[in-house]
Formats: sequence, structure tokens, C-alpha cells
Amino acid sequence: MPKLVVEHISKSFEYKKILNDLSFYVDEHEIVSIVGPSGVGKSTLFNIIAGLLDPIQGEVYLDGESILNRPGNVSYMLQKDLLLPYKTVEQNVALPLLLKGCKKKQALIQAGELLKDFGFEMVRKSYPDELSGGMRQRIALLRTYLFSANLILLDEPFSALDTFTKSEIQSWYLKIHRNLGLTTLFITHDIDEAIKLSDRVYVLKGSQVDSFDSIEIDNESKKVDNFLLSAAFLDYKKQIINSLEK
Amino acid sequence: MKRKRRSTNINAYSILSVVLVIVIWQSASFFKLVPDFMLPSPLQVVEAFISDFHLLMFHAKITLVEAVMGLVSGVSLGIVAAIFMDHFKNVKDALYPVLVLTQTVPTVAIAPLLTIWFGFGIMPKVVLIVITIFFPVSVAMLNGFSSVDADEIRLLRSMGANQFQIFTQIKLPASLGDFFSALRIAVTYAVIGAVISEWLGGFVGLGVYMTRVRKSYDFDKMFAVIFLISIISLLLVAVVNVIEKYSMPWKRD
Repeated sequence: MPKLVVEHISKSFEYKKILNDLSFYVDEHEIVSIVGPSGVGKSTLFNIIAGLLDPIQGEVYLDGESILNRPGNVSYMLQKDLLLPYKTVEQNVALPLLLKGCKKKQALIQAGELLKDFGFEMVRKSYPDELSGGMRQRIALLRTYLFSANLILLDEPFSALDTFTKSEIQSWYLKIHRNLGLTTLFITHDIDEAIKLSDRVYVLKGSQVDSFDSIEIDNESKKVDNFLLSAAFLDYKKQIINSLEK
Repeated sequence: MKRKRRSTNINAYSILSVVLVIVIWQSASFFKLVPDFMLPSPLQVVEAFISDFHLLMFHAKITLVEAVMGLVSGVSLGIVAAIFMDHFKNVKDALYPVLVLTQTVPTVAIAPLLTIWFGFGIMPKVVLIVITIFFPVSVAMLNGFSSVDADEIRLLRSMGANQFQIFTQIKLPASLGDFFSALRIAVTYAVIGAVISEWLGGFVGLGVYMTRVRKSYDFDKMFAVIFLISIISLLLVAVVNVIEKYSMPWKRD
């Protein structure tokens, strides 16, 4: 059974149809990307899955149960790291536990352990303003993870970072995704990033239903050196661009 | 990291200019450019301050108590009003114009009325202070609450936070900066409000002392009390600054 099932979701804002009868699924331990130009409703889709928006029709199932209009089931992270500037790194990471009603002391201990596991112990007491962009994004990811490891929604989380930091943090994410056995749904407008990170890629073009099919990325092909320069990579890229232009 | 300098910080230049003013003033008195009874010299003011020290402290204590009581009630009311206005848009629409209106009423005009309504005790003073500081505090807090990033609220909602948690975790800490700016203003308003209120009707307090020395043309004592009031206000602002520094550690470096 897939982890997340999205069935026939439609949503419109002021008579403008944004999402039209959209269906897809994410299997457990997969990284699935949704690629598409700005304004096709990727973020709207995420808000619906996160339970923050009500669709006109359709259903969202997590582990077979409907999570429509029920926030607090999936983790959610945006392009902005949204670390609260008035809380230390430790307090920021502990925030989701506090919201769940965990005791403050217990939450801080758990957050501290997680930070230690990832080697961020030295910034525990720092404030977000003192950290670099890449670092902040990693801390934000840890916070997202601590909220729920069930399903992680990432809405262009790395697009504000410079190329070097971005590639470094992408590898880092792939590693923790594998080590922690996460399931990730990933939004991006960066085709390279989608191919690099995902097991499957959905191409979202606009409000049409047809051809919302996923492109499978063979994980074996990623094992070659310089995958990003390989012919296989370019093939995938061509495939995605073609289906975007169709 | 480099420590940010606040504009209220005391530096060498500001001390120099104050010293310069005092020197000019002292020499003007010394060379008899102005007669003593019109403008006492700084030394005479200091002498008056020392000779009347106990009396000044007695009155200052009362003024301070009034100011602090007015400050505490005004600030708490302002915050409560801001919370309601932030939470219910109807309350904001209804209350906001009234708040603006209270600001247009001259303090000097309502102080005697308050004395008639509440007597010569501490009550009319506190009420006057509350009226003057309620507005700046509630407007600043409301501004702080609504300046919170909508994405931060969305993030917390996605984590299943309720309204109360959103308030305590984001809105309250995010508006602390605005709160302290408002508090600095409120503190000075509170002292001045107490003095004006005493001036216009009362038996004790620095305002009363001021009217007495004015009527007996003791201008040296008049200046002594003016400086005392300034010093009290400055000290209170300094206290606010210290509290601010400790309650907002993320702004320290």
C-alpha cells in the first residue's frame, strides 16, 4: 500500500482553476518530485496535503486514512527556513515536540540528542541569525524531521541556496533520507535537482489532467561517476522537458 | 560578533555637549549676564537640591509610586486590548477610532475633570497616566502581532499548533521589540503624566512641590525639581533598556 495517496484533487481560487482532478501516490521510502513552472499550483497542492487548505473535491490518504483538513500529520518545509529568530537552534528544533504537548525539558533533551547525532552540537545555543544559509536549512530539516518522520513535504527547500551549498545539502539529504528511512514528497522547479534526488518525477504543467504520469529514475544509473554529466541524466532531462512542452 | 550601538548610548560627544552647556550657563551667572533671581546658576541649583533633598525624595517617592501604578495598569490594559484587537477584527474596527480619539484630548484639559471625579488622591493620577500610555502601547503591540510572517504561522499550523500556541510561540516573542519601544515611551509619559496631574490638583508629589516653589519664586528649587524629574525618567528608561537586553538575548550580539 502506498504511503500517500492523493485522489482527484481539484482546487480553484476566485473561479480560476488551479488544480484539476489530480491524482498521484508516494510509496514508502521513496523520494517523489513534482516539477513544474511557477504558478501551476504546486504550493497549493502542498497546503492541501498539509491540511491547511480545503480542496473543492478529492481525498488525501496517509497510510490509508484521510488527512484532509487535518493539519499535524505530515511535516512541511518551505524555501524559507522559517527558523524563529528569537529561539536558539535547540529551541527551534524542539518546537514541534512542544506543540505536541511534550514537556519543555524532555523536548530540549530530545532536540539536543538529534543535533548531536548530526554533528550540530556546537551551534545548539546559537541563534539562527548567526548561522549560514545552508546550516539554517539543515537545522530546519531536522526540525521538520523531529515533527514527524512519517511523510516529509519539501517545497523548494534548497532553491535559495548557492550552487555549492545546494549540491552539498542535496547529498546530505539523500544520505539522511536513506539512513532514517524517510518518505519525501519534493516540489521543485529545478529539473536537475529533481532527477538527482528522486525515485520518480511527476511533471505538473497546469490545470489539465492528462499526462500526469511519473517518470521513473533508475537508481542504478545514479551510481556512475559524474551522474549529472552522464548521458542517462540528459535523457531524463530531455524526457521531462518534452513532457513539460507537450 | 560586533555589538550594535544603540542611539541612546552615552558617548564622549554627548557628555562633552552637556558639560559645555553647564559651563556656559555657569559663566553667564558668574559674569552677571543674567540676574540670579531670573536664572539661578548650576551651583545654586545643586545647593538647592542638597538643602531640599529630604523633601524632594519624599515627593519623588509619591510621584514614582503613581507613575509605576499607572504604568503597570496602562501597559497591561494596552496589551490586553491589543490581543483582543488582533484576535477579533470587529473589536479592532470598533476600538481603534476610539483609541485615536483619546489621543486628541489634551491632558491638561482632562486632569482637572479627573480630580473632580476621583478626588485629590492617587486615583486621578493613575487614570490620567493610563489614558496617555494606553494608546502607544496597544498600537505598538498590535503592530507587533500583525507583523508576524504569515509563513511562520502556516508552519506552526501545519504542525498542529492551536491559536494559543501560535500566540505564545510566535506572536509574543516576535512583538517584544515593539513592546520595549512602546514601554520606553510609556515610562517617560508616566512620569510626566503624574507630575502634570499633581500640578493640577493634589497635596503631595513633585508636581505639587513644583507649584509651591514656583509661587514663592524659588527658581533654584524649581530647576532642582526639573532635573530630578528628568533623572527619574532617564533612570526608568535605563531600567527598561536593561530588561530589554535580558529578555531578548537574540538581539544581544
